[in-house]
Amino acid sequence: MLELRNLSIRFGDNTAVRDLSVRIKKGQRIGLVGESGSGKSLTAFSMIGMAPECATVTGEILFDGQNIPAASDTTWRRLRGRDIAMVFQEPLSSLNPLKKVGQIIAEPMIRLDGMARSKAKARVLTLLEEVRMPDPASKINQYPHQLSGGQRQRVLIALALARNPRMLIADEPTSALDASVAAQVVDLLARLSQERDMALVFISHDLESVARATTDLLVMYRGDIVERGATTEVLNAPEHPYTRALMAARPVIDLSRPDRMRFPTIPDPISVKPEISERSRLSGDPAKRNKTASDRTPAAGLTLQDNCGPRHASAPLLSVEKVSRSFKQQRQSIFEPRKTLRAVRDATLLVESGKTLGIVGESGSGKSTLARMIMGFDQPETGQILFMGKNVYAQSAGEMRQMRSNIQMVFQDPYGSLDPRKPVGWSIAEPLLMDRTMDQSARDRLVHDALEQVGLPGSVAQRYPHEFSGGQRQRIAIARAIVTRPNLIVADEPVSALDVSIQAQVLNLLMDLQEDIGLALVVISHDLAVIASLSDDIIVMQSGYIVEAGKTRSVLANPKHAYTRELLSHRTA
Amino acid sequence: MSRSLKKLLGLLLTLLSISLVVFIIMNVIPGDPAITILGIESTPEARAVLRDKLGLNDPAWQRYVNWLLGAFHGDFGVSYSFGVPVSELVAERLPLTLTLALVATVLTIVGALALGAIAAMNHGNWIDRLLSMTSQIGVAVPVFWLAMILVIVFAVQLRWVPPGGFPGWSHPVAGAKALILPACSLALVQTAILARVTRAAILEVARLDYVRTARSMGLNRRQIMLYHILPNAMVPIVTVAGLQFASLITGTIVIENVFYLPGLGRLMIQSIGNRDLITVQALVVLFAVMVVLTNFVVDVFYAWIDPRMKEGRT
Repeated sequence: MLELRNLSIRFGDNTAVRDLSVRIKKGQRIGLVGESGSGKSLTAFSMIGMAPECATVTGEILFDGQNIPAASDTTWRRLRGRDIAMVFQEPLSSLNPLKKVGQIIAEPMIRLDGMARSKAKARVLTLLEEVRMPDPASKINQYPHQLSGGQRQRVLIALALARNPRMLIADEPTSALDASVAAQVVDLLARLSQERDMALVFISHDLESVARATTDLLVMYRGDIVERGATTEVLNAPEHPYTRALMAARPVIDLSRPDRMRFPTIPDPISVKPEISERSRLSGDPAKRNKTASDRTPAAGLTLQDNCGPRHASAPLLSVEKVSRSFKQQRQSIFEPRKTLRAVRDATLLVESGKTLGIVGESGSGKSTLARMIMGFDQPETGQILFMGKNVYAQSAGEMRQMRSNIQMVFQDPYGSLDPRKPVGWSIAEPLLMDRTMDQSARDRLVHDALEQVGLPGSVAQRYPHEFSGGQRQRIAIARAIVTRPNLIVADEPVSALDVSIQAQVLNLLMDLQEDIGLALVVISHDLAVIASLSDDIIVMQSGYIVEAGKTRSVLANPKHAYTRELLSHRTA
Repeated sequence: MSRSLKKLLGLLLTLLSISLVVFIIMNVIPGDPAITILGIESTPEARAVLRDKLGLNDPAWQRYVNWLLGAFHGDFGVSYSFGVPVSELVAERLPLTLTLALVATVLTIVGALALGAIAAMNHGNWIDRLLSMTSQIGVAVPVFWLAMILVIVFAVQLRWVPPGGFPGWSHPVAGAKALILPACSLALVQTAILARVTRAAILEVARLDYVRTARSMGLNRRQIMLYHILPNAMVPIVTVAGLQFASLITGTIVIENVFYLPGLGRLMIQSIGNRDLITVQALVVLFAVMVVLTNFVVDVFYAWIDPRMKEGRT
């Protein structure tokens, strides 16, 4: 049905996709995996004639045997939606925020197929039922921001199906969703493809999703297809070193493994091209990262003894005692009382210095609220939080500032948390400005040290955030967190925005740093596998409650709570 | 519901504090209204009697409260120089100023949306560059100078419209003709500013994911612009347009003097010249009220345009 012949996509001299040829047959379900930057999304967008304008597309694209010139937007427009439709990565930002769900889905039918409004409305209901939307009749009158992530993605799928396309391209449709919801969406896409005899091109960096949804698989690496074949065969016996590395890099829960094991990173298995080697040098030589911690001497002064003031050896670094926090919700109508969302209920936990506590739970389970309270941003309603023996919320403003430099945070989105207009060295130095006695050269030296510690050359301090890749930016965010020599780092979803292979590097870095400078870590993630491989202790949260807590190994080996078991079942293959 | 109520309460408080500040300023300015009314040759005895009659000997807080209570009933006192109630003076002149400001606003919004959209759709080519250069000049030009140039070209040379004056509301055609130049000179500068904002807002929205979604379902450029980009770009545009309406209202002060139009702006200048403080006080409060009300309307508009704001999100 759709055929790409020797498709190449270039940006100036830079070739993003090289001589790619694919045939997609009617009803075929085909997966396209690879890291971001491997060209998989570009390939997908060129299948619907929406490659970026600045790109040069060469080669042939044939639909039903007819050659469609890549540059002819008018020709492509007739195919879009009617023959080929697309589902995008970020369901919230991909939906017009000013329109109700019903209007969104009905729009192409009314405006492009000239369908009567009443008829379109009836069809919207059918479509919502087809994508298994709970309570479709009431969803029609809601706005995208009122839906959950999974529901938004269902709206996006219903919209794509509105004009009965023969082919559906799904570009990382689940990467913004929680694990259990993602699995449902993947199954939904596969089922729709079967029921409608609709071809499906499923793009992902998540091998598990691809394995669930597709029958055929293409593996892309730096613009080339490096492996292709039936999905099960490729995944059972990967031939290409990149495919193998991709499978090994995925954090999986493996109880036979020693307590905390570093992930295999992908050590550039393919012949390295000049412009790429420049990049990988910057991203921190994997070989260097794999050195054991003892090989490296910690930077001067960056030892645990130096940076923590008076401390009682026996007392835990952080202790959270029966802490609760709730939020008032907007009332639905003036006759109803305002509902209260109890985000965290009676949470109790301890973190010892130099140890890692993992908090796992779906979005909305209260884990981020808990983190905010630990950071001193959000006062709990009941209970208390002690950091180094002091009550976080019963200290003077000066003491609070002092404490803040002792607890640092790493956020999910490294790009959003770095000022795009300032060189990264400036952002890293910012927490140091609190100490007025420190001069510029001392700050520069600390920034330099921090960058080296996260595996970046100190010279990159002059560069700007956009010059770095996602993984490098997260390293910079970590450098900023360690520059004040804190005792505790709270990392909120530190790797969920990153590709699997980069995830592994960042997780290894966190473990290295912990051994080097002896800091305590609180890692928050919805990904049990990440938590399992990183943490000494684990806490499982669900709707505000800590449902299970204990040593990571014992909790995972013998989960007591049904929810933990459910989480585990999503992850262990 | 409680949110709008809070807004309304805040609005009242703002107005109250404005009136207080204006009252204080007017009272610390040197000058004796009695002299203004009776002239400098008047006897001190006559002035004392008049001051007593005007209530100027009362303590300041009492005069403020009296003035405020009067203002609530539409009684702003009697003009020192015209000898008629201030409310009558205002009522006579308000329609002209409001008409002028509203016409200028409509011209601004229509012009700016069109020009901004054209510039954005031609992003990067010569049309875009030409428009943005022109608007750059437009932003830099002072209103009164532009007004004079327009008078020289269209009134003196071409004689299409009168150079100034207003024949009154009983002559609708001549009246409308008299307002064309003032409205255009007010609108041109503001159009230049708003067109730049519109262009930036459209380009900002155009690169968002839901525009890509709209494209992927087969809509054409015009449909995408009309139904997806423009509605979403309205929020920043309306914000700036609201601020501009405020500056248009105050801009009328200058323009009405250039064109000899009997509006509030001209009354303001006359009253200042006559040291007619009680009229000036009423006018300043009135201008402030219009500005604050505009901001309130803009706020309400936000909630209407964007469902996310109704729920108190920002």
